[in-house]
Amino acid sequence: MLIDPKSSTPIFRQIADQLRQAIDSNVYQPGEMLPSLRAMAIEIRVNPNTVQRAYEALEREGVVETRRGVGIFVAAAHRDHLNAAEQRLSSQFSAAIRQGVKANLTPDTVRSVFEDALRQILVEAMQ
Amino acid sequence: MITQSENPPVIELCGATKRYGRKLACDAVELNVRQGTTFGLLGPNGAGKSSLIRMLMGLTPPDAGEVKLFGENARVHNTAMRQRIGYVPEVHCIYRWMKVEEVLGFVSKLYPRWDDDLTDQMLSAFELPLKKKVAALSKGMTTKLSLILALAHNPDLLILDEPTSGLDPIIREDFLESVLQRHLCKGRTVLFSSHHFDDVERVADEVGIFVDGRFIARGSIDELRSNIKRVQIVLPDGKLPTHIPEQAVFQRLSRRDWTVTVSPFSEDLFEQLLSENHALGGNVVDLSLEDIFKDVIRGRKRQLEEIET
Repeated sequence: MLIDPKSSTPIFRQIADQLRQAIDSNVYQPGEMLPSLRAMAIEIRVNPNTVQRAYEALEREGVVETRRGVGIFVAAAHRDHLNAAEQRLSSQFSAAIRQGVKANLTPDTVRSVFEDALRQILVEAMQ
Repeated sequence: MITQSENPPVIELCGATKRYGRKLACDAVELNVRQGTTFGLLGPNGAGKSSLIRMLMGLTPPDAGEVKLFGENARVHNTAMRQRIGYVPEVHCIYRWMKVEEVLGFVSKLYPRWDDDLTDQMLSAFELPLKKKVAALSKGMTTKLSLILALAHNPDLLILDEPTSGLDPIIREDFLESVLQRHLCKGRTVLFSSHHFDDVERVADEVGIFVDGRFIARGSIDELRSNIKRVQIVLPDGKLPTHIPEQAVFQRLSRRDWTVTVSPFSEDLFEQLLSENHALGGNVVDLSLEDIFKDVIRGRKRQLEEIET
């Protein structure tokens, strides 16, 4: 896990996002126990309270579940990660589009910027 | 859940003032650090951070106000209090003519809670040569020895004054890891000053920006980030900003790009800035702790220059 303290994304978010990716790509499987707060904090050298916030965020998002006195586990019900990925993409788009609207871009411009970007990525993928 | 807000305060400063001649090093400082909190003290050189820390350690009494640790007045001769504190000063004061093992033997006698196993663990993790004289240790090694002396007696409060300045990144990492493993992860309290924003963002629960003897911004890193933001605005050709809000802490104008850092930020303020300046466009930028620090300090400098001229 790579933490970038200079990023404007809060550290707990960086941890939560990377854990979620690890879970989505089956590094940690449903029902598997995640590293303890302490172990994770020492390994990535951040305050254990920050790791705790990341785990709490993932718990709220239904990705992990805490079993009191035992540890933190990947939620068994976490199968709809495609759906979750869609949700996350949607919230990222919303943020980007809001910025565009604030900068007085028209809906048509927003749409064409999006389509250009998507086309660019598909072209790159083909090469 | 994070329950520090219910923990008893470990550090309490109430109107703490310290003056050196005409210089006001600490200007009626208020501070409350609860048990289990890691507090990062940020400030430019000469801001008074070391004076603040020296008052905490009881090394110098406040001219006015109160400095309390564990609910008692901080005084240098309070042995029981000193035994609960681990201190890594900016300039290490370890007898230079002693060998490493002699220093450890000597200091361990001063602390009833000294932990020999913990000492051995840290010695081997740091690869410190026991037979070497302190005078012959490198700067990094001396800092590591200083940290062992501060942590081996399991202090309730750890105070670090610029602990990692001038150290290479690997030693900084070892240092941070030890503080986390041997102190922070046990729910103990830390106050540290640093110029390494990476380190502060990694381990601090709360930070305070200390300038000219007082805190000009304080809170959790997330609070500072949501309160202090940079707004970028594109002005119409040939126009200067007409509406500069009182929330502006720092601004810069280059051609049509007007950048203004505001505290506290709100969406309403952003809308207001756009409309009142007839902006062609604009956006809001989230700042890193380092950017927040720089803008706040630069803004304050300019303010002072304007008052003087």
